[in-house]
Amino acid sequence: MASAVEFIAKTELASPDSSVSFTSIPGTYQHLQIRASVRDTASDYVESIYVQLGGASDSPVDTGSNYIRNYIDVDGTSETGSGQVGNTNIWLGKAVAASATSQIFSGLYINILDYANANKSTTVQAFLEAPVTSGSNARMRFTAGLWTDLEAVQAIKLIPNVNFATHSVFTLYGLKG
Amino acid sequence: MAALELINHQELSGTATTMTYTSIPSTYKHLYFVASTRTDNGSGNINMGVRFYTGSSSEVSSGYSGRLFKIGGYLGSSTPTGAAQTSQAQWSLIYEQGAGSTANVFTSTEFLIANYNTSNYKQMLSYGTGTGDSTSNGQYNVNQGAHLNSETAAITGLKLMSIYGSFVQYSTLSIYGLNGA
Repeated sequence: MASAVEFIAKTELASPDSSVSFTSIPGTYQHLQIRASVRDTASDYVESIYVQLGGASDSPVDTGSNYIRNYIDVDGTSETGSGQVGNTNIWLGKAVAASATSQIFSGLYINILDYANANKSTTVQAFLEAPVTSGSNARMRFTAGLWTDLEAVQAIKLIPNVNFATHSVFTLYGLKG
Repeated sequence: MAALELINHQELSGTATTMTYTSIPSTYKHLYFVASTRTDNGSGNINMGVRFYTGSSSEVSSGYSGRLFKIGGYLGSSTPTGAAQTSQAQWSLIYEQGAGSTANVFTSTEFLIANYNTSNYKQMLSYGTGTGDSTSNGQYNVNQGAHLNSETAAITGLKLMSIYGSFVQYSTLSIYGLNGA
């Protein structure tokens, strides 16, 4: 039987970069998944990363206030829930940054279900972890994100606080339905 | 051999209280499910559940337990809680987006049943998320779940249940098999 998951694209950074984008995503899959190993060059133990999406009418992503995020944060001391409407991106949480041990990267996965269904707004389900050993900087975030648009997703842009570090890797897969 | 294979995919053309598939082959190592769903029910409750089948068509309707780590309700600051379920008629997954939620917004859920074809107790991991675009109650949910049933027979089917109200049109369920040694 044929594989139900297909590799679409991969980016591995040879030098720091202020964003990573996947464009011209075909609408032929049922679901999209991103698996990434990321690190930020910001001067802290952990720092924020974000995602924006785009459809045919965007160039290539929507930068308007059309994103909602709701999440659970778990750090070294507590668990909290929060969320915001009217954002210009979906905040995925905080990834490992420059003050952490140099070999440590964060794991990130994102599910975008039924991304090409014009009857559904686009939902972003994500998990980001930062395995930092410095006090309360170790953390996880579970994200429920929404892009209030019915267009098929054709572009995904991941944005760090400063730059994604060298050797950060981002892989996009399509799941068949 | 592909590591992940599609077993079944269904998309509703109208409302339905369940999405069921009862011909899961025994040839995989694990099962992975992805669901994008919405209910026509307007009141808040843990709305989506899962039952499994064993043998030719035996629906298991008791002995489901688990624990959810979740937030839900109003957008904004809230404290996540743990909720235990014992002796339930199904595994409970998440509050779905319902009739009072923003139009066209569906809940995203993934769940994994490992070693479904052995005599072990049946266990499931789940992760569900849903977010509306206003600050109204009931539109925001993030759930992680650990689930258990002491059934030892192999799983041959699955029923995704809208416990209150019905799944609406365009709700989808994808069932995948993972191969392993």
